[in-house]
Amino acid sequence: MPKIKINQREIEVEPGTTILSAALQSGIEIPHFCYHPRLSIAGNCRMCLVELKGAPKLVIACNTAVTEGMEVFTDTPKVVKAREGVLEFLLINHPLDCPICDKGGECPLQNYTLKYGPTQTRYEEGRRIYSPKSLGPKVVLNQNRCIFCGRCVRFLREVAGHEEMGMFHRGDHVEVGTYFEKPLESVFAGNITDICPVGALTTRDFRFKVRVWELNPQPSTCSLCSCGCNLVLWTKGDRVYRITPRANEEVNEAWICDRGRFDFHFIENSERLKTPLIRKEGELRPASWEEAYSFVAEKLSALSKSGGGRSIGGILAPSYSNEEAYLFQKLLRETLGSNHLDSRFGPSSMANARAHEKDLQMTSLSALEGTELIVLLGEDLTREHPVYSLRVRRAVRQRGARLIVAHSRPTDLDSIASYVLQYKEGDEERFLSSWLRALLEVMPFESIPEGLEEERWSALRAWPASGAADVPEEDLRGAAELIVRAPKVVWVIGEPKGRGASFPLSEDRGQGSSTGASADSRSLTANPSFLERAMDLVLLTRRGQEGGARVLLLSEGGNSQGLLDMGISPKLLPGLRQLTPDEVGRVEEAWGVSLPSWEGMDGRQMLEAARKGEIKALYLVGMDPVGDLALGAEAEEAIKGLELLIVQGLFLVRTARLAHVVLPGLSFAEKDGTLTNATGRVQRQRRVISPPAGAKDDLEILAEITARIAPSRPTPSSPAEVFQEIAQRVSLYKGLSFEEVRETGACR
Amino acid sequence: MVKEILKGLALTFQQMWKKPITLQYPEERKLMPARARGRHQLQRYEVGMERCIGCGLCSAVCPSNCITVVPAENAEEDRHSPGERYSQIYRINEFRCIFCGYCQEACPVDAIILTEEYEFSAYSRDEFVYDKERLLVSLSRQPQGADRSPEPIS
Repeated sequence: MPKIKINQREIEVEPGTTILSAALQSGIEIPHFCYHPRLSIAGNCRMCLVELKGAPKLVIACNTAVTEGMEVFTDTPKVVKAREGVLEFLLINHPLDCPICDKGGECPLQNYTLKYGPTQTRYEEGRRIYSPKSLGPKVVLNQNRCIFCGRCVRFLREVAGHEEMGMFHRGDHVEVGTYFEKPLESVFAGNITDICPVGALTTRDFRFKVRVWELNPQPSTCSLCSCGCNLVLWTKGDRVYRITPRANEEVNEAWICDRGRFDFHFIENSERLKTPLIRKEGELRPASWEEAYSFVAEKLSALSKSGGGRSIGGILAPSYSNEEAYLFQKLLRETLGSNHLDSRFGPSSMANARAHEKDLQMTSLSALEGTELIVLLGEDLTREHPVYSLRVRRAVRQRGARLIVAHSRPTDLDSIASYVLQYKEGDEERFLSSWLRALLEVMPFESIPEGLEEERWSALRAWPASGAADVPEEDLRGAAELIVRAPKVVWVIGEPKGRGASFPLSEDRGQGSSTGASADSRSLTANPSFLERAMDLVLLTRRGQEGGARVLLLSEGGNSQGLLDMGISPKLLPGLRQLTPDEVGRVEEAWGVSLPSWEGMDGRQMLEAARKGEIKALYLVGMDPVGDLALGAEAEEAIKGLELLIVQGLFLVRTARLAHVVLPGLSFAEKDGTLTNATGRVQRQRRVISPPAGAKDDLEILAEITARIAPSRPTPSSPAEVFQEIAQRVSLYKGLSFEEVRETGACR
Repeated sequence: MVKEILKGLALTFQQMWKKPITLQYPEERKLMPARARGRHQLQRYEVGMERCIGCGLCSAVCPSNCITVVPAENAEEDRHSPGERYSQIYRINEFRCIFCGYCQEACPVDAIILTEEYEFSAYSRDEFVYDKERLLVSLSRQPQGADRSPEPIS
């Protein structure tokens, strides 16, 4: 490893490191604009000039690799003078109106000018003046302030893969903008405002709202999808003003998508619920919390006594925290004796539990970097889990991985895929079966493949060949061959959205609302969901090798993995343990509680049972089935027959209007908790602002209801206490503590 | 003891012939020194445009935290100040103000000044919170310009 000296200080760095990154690593400041550690080197701003011993001229630190014995000086009179000169040139056309500019206070150009720049301007000619350009609804460009470092152009081209911006003209006529003046469409467009070193690119959402030095940056985690991006919430008083990414190499590096960045204004919506509502004389009337608690507790305990646990169901939205999920299942299972628990209205699956059991689950995104083949199955990554698509793109574009995309619609990553297998929407079943056939042809099996259960193997072989599902045969074969030949495969599997999300696939599709309610369709083999079929493919291609295949299962909702871990599933106990009488017995013994051992219904079946009058009470947290396009009418009909409908959430949504009790909960910025992302990383969500008066912490609501129904048993009520209980009881979370997951999270 | 009394009265008699310092306020008023720091005033350009660009430096420097500035973006058809930013809300709590004059010093566009006015009286406490309307110098006291074009800032 070469040893170099920067300002007489000896530093040892990896060969091939540039002077600038060596300096950054050892905490020596070299001012720079165009250089960004996550982008390619452009070397155009000339700000990072340094002196080398023995070199006739100054060199740029960002594009000069270190050599053994190199001596670098960053503060000689020559360097100081050169920097001043560079800044003076940069400021020729840059307006000196920092008090007006929205970057003021966090602007590298402002800071460097103050530190290294000239104190006076000598320039007397006219400046270049442009009128502000709109780059679409998200970003505004003020070219007067641009210093043409090209970071935005390079970010969109290299990282996001959406080449939408460019530099036009030459020399001092250079201009920056989007091609053909089109609006920016990239879901990562917001990031260019973070990396812009001047006030040229700002978000329309935040610009001129408040000064940055008045804001209080606080760390948190995004709960919109299961990427689990690390965030900084910038607050002032009780308001969140903007959201920016927080660097975490294991999750989002330094980027977030525009949904995570801009989708938070619902917090301050004036229509937020601020008091509990109870239905009296056919109308929802405001009530006190005391009334609401006793109403819910009385009704629930009366129902569980008269109808047993089977008459009560609960559905919790997958954006809620692990602690809330844990208490929710505790209320339903331990206190009310019901296994009717789910987090959605689609078919529930055992795919996550199987992936965990077989140790196939991807626990670190770095596995993506070293892989030879990535298969995206039913997952439009850029749309649904945007930040993960950046990793896939890099693996393909820079690390030479191959990519297969199988989806019902064209996706953003199609352009870099080796094979694009586009099947018809709703035709997932046929597609998977024909792909399986192609796989079996390429790789014939004599005996049962290792890791695949006998029943699944026979089910697979009995899977009818039902045509090619409009995917060309040679593509299916080609993709199958790629999978068979690649030593390391990463499967990224998402559930089919839209129709596929709310309707069970397979034979009883098309029989209207009776789907999935029949007894045999609840068992594992008779009606496997898309995810489970896909898991069969994964297991088939694993070939027993160590690390031969890895799978990343992506469901909707920011904490979908955490909810499964906590047992929010009719088929799973906390810790991804399959709900069987034996397992229930073991858990009962270990925890000292009694649990129902029968298999519960999934969300869809619960609605159906509610319609038939088998389920009398539903507890919905953050769910709005009546407001759902695909489900609405059916859900409304089902819900009308309920004796008790409890809806907990932020707004009086359509389902809440039909409820017997409405409980106002809190948004992600107002409560503490932990979220588990798709790779099993447990991260903290934080209370950064105080909630609207009248609304209560969801965890507190759940704890209070549980305590009222079963007053003899102690119920933990603070997030730290609940997490402690999780860490004690759930094997996956053993050894973790609430404090430990503080900064960048911990792997479970 | 008599000696002491006489000594004291001597001082009294001495003062009796001097000009009294007491002013018969409000009929008589003291001429304030040029650098007196009284009530704030927001200035305008000669064309009538507000000088304040809503940068919030006054609020940042204020030691008693009595200035609230909420900026907003200027629209071309409804321009309040030169440049992109203007102060949508500008509020000073004169009760809390200690009249240090830092705001005046921090202002990059000389928008806020402290006037000579020191007579604060009102019927309610709320009236001591001055909003932008009361702080801005009235247009009638400004010489009217021919056009409203902003003066270039560089």
